[in-house]
Amino acid sequence: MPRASLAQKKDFVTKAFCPRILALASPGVQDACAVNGFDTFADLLSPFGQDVLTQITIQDGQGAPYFLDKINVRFTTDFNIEKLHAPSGSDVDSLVKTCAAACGESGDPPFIGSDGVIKDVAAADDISTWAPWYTLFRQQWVGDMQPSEHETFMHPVACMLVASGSEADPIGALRALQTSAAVQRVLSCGDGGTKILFYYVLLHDGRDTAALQTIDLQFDQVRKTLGQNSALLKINTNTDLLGDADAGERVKISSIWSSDISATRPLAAHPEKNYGEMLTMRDVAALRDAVKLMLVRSVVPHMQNVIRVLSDQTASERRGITGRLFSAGRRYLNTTAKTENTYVGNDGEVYYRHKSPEAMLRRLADCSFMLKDYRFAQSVYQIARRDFQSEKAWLCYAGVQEMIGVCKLLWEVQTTKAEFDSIFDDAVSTYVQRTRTPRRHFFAVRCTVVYYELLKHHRFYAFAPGALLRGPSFSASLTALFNEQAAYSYLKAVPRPNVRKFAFYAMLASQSFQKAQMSDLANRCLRMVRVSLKSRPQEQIRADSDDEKSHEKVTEVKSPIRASLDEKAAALISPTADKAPVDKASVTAKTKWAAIDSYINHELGRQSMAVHNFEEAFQYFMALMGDEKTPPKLQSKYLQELLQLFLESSDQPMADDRKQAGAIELSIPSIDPQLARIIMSPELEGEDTMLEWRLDGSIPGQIGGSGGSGSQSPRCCSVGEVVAVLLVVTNPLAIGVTLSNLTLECAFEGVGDSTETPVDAALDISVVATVILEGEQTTMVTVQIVPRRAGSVSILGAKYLLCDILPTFKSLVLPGRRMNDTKEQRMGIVHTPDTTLGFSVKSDLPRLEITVDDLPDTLMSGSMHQACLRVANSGTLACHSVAMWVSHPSFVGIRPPRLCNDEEDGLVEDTGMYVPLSDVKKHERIEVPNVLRDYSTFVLVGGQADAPGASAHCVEPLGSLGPGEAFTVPIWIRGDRVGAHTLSLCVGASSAETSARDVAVMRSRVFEVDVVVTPSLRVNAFVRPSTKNPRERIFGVEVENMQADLSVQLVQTTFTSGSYELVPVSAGSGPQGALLGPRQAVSLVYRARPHEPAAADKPLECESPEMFAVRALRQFIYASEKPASTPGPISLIYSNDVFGELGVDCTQRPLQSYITRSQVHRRRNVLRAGYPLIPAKHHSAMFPLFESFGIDFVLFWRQVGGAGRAGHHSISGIDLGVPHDYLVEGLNPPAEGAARTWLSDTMHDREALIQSVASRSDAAVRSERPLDVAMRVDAARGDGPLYVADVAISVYNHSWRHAYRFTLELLSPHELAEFVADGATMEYSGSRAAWSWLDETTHSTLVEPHGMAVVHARLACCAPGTIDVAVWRLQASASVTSPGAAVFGSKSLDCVLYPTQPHFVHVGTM
Amino acid sequence: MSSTYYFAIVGTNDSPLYETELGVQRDESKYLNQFIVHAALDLVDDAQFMSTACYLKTVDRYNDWNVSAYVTPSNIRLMLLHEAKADDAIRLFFTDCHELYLKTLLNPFYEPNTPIQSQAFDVKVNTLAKKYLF
Repeated sequence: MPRASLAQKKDFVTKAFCPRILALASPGVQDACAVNGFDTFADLLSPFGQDVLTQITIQDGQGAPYFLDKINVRFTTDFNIEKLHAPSGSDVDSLVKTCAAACGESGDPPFIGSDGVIKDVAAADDISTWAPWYTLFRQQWVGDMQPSEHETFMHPVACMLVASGSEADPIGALRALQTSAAVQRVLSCGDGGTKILFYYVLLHDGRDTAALQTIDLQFDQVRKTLGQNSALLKINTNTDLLGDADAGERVKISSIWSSDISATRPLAAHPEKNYGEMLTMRDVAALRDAVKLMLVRSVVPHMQNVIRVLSDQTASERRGITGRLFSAGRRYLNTTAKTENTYVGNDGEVYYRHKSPEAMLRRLADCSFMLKDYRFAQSVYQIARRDFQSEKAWLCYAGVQEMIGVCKLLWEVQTTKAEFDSIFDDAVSTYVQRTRTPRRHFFAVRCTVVYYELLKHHRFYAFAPGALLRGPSFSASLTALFNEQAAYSYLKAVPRPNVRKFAFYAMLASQSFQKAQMSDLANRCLRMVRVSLKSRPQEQIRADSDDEKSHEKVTEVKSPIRASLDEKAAALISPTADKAPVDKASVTAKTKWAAIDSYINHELGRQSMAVHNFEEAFQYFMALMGDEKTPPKLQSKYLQELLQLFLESSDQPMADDRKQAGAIELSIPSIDPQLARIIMSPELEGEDTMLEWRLDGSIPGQIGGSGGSGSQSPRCCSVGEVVAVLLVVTNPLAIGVTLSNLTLECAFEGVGDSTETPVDAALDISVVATVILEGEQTTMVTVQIVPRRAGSVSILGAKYLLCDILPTFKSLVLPGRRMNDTKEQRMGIVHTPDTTLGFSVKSDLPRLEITVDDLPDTLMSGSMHQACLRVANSGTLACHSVAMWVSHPSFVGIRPPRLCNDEEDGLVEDTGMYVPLSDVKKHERIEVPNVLRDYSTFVLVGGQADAPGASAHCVEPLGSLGPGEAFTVPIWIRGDRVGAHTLSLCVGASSAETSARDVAVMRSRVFEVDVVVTPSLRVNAFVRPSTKNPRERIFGVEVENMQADLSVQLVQTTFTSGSYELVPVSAGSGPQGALLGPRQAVSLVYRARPHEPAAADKPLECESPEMFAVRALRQFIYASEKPASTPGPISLIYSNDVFGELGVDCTQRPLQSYITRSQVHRRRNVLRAGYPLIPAKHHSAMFPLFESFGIDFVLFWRQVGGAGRAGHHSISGIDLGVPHDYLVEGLNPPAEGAARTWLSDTMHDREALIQSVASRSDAAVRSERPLDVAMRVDAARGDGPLYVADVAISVYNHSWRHAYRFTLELLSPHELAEFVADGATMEYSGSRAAWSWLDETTHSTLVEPHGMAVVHARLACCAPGTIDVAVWRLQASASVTSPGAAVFGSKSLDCVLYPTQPHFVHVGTM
Repeated sequence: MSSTYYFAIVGTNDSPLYETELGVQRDESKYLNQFIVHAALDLVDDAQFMSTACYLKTVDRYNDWNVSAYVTPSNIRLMLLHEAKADDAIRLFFTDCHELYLKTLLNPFYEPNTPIQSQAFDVKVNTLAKKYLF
């Protein structure tokens, strides 16, 4: 590009401020010029004024010699100082546009690579080639300089007068030229002290052969007449126009002028014409020599002379303090000086008269500057500056400031450093802010341009942006140019390019270009910004490459099916990708600064739209929509523009591709894939999923069992079933949008199909006609899918028409769980394939309609509620296995399932839980199973009978459930515990037959219901010894009605125990206390006595539950095989106390199972807390459900009034047998059968278990009395002073385990204090001196378990009256019956007992 | 004193980890805020080698806007765009924000050099801004 290198930077300044020579020619000369294609003689000379090699030594203003290498001059044809050139903003805009248009199509600058800024190119390349329009602009701007009063650069230093030899009177013509108006104007601007130089040229036209003879003579006359400053010039010697032998020379000659015109007046219209048709190379050499001769011989010496004269005239101003004082004195003392030297011009500025010392100083400095004596010029400028500042001649002041800065940068740049910057800053701000002339902007821009050029020359790019941004901003295009140059300057910064600064100022330039309606350049700048923001620091590139690697890993773990689905998804999103690969990332901005990206994409999108480049505009707008951080207001704006773009582009034929492509992916409205749900059988309640059933009471879990909380079981459905997909659609915008024809895009893979099944044939997907979303509204949309074939379905995304215009696709594909198994997975980011939004269609899956009716919200504690489970087989396959699991087995009891007939419509009459009987037996002995089994899983269809050892509980299950059949299961729910509970019911079904122990994957439906259980009755029980009979215990029950408004009728109490029977203490107490008003309480007291088996009752032959537990524990610890057998049945005694006329038979199954489940619940909790080291799975094989000496208590009640609810409360496990730590005996090693070798871990486990059981035994000792003592005193015999009575003392052993050897000491009342051990208290209320024991007072004997020993004693009393005979001490120690030297045994078996109550006896006649 | 601030934490790869506008929210100037702060990173790169302190004071200026910067030892840049000059308050604000950022780094669930999404962080930054800047 030739124009780009128009002028070197330093030369640019020296050429701009070069001397001007006024070249005036007589009319005869015009013809000689015109034949060569020139309008004026100045045009002819113009190329020869550039870089004239003078090579002379001249003197500077102070007489010192210096070498002038070369000089530039310009030839002008006119001089008019009154002509004001004040470009306005619009002028500048049009100028910039012309410059840009002259440069043609603007491509990206060379430093812009595909991956950001190429820094090497940016550092090495010439800045002027990046924006050639700026080079044109600055050339044109400086070339447009006009003469001004405040400076003398444009004032001609000489007048060149040219006359032709062909004229009749050349001398006359020259004299006429000397008196022309232009010359007069030049003279008027002189200072009077120095004269203008006239240089006379006599031109000989070679065509005028006639004049050839006389031309020398004429020139002699001219020289004689006008002086030595004259020259003879011969041109147009090429008279042989017809010959074309020297065509190459013609071109060469013509290019001398054409290149000069393009350099000096780049924007001038220059028609294609051949310059110098009549000139030969000899003429050209003559012209060059003539100009050089003129400069060397006349002009430069004349200028030196001017400098010398002016220097002398202004000596006093310049020299030292004296001159300054004189000047100051004149200024301040002579008031007329100011008015004489200055005047106010037409533009309102203060100027100096030409003869004033200040004007002469300026002229002197300018002349010195033009002769390249910058040092002297600067000193003179600085002197003048002080005067201009004090006179407030701001234009003059700014002018010299500018020149001082230029001088500093031209000669003492290394020493002054940044001083020039403040000088230029001052100059520009003075021009803009303080001057009032219309040309102030011109000067300010010139100053900025000159300064910038000098900075570029010195590579001071750090100052360039500041200089450019200080420039005047009266025109948008000018601001744009300066911003663009500032941006480039940042790229030239050392030590490295400031790319981010470049991006910022390029963006500002783009804005200004846009404002100036220069969209091409605006677009170019924005593209530069977009690309340059890709330039990243090295570490970022490394980090990103790591990310890319990890993404590659994601694809590695994808299953083949998933990969094929992804391909389909990708093809759906961009179906045209194969046809025309468009790299989206390369077009749109993708930094991580959201607002920056949005701005760039929006602007570029709009610009692309303006030039009808819809394809690119779409990409920009789609990138805009993809940013979720964009504020809603902007998003709505972008949306409107996108819709507009779509409408506009649809009119264009080029949009056909896009129409075929179908949908584009937008971020609005947002559909969160994580919130999307697939709901199987949506018309039914509960969650439908595939679960793994273990049928051992544990909750049906995820398939595989190890899935975390985030994993989900695969969803399955059968063919023809309705599957609902629930989408949560959110509108992030502040304005409302409408979605129409919303449907899903799915991928389908058939099972066993060799050919690929089309999705349309395999799935029926519903279409939602319209979804209206208000601003910021969230709504749920359900789309239904009906599969027609077996296979796997994966949901890829949602399709809809946005605002009825824009076809949009929304991907719903998510990354799966992040993996963390291997080192690579931990170091990278690896996800499993996501299966959240997918389900499989199976042909062999049962299709059941499962409903649960009448589930309660609120229950009273203890009361019953009947719900109903209905299962109907609506599929075509028979169902062979149905099971139910409940989370709270103690709450739920079920009845056997019953098949529904059509006539009965599935309703089953249930007689209720309570079967009242008018004749309930007082005591009844029933044999019941004693296995601690789990009751949370029930087999409803397909399981075997309730066989011993079966894990799942079978309730008379059905054989199978054929197609179209249905059954119902009554479910009784009892409020077992007060509080809020969430009951889970899970019903699983499978077509295959499964045995009760199998692990099965079943299609399951999970129901959850929240139940609040409110308190109804509070029941407390207590036990205390009986005073009358040592074998008996008193069992008290306190019942309080917690309800505020309803009375409760107590119906019956039932006690269940293996060895006790309970009878009411006072017969007939029931009916009175049976009715409990609100907030009332009643106490029921029973006597618990060992049951004496009737002769007809055959004792059970199996071992007792306690012994079973001891044996099983021993086997668990010492044997190599874990215990597997279950305890045998136990014979329970049911003691009923009926309060009313109707009782309840609780030996019936429903009630019995409730009581059993409550007991199981309590037992399990006790065992889990007491023996944490024994796994729960062994509990049923180690511990029996009932213990022989425990008592379970059930209280039946019925509400009086209200809803008339009935219910029962129970208290389980009241243990009367002592001691309680019999299990420690199981810790002793067996005599035989122990495993011989153990692994060390097993040893540690065993030791820990032994320690824990042993320590629990220590802690579990209760302060029970294993022995009870009762006294029976016969009537005292004797009369007179001494009465004697026999006393039978019976000692009863309550313990079922140990025989006790005891020593009974009968104490004398008056020795009481001595016998009682320290710390024990023995209250004695009788007379101590009145009586005493006779005979032997110490008795020792053995009492068997549950046995009684009787000791006979006698007492003597000296006076009639009432005495307290309960004065004894019993020392008992258990005789351990276990064989061998047991390491472990029951602790604290020895005890010392004292009477707890007085025993009064009447002596004598009363 | 009511004023507008734009605060950003810039990661080592020049991407913003956290950004917020404090004071009056202006949607239209969001991109300009980001541009100014992003461009000032060039000057932070130069200025951080001129000083041993973390707080680099005002590193850049655009029209009436000043950009103050604070560079942590791990080369995380805390940038504040502000109008009024209050060096001491801004230094304290930066110091506390640095501490906040360190606490975020201690979170095992936070991966360094990724955007900070924590709402608690946002609340705390706003509290610090109210304490020092307004």
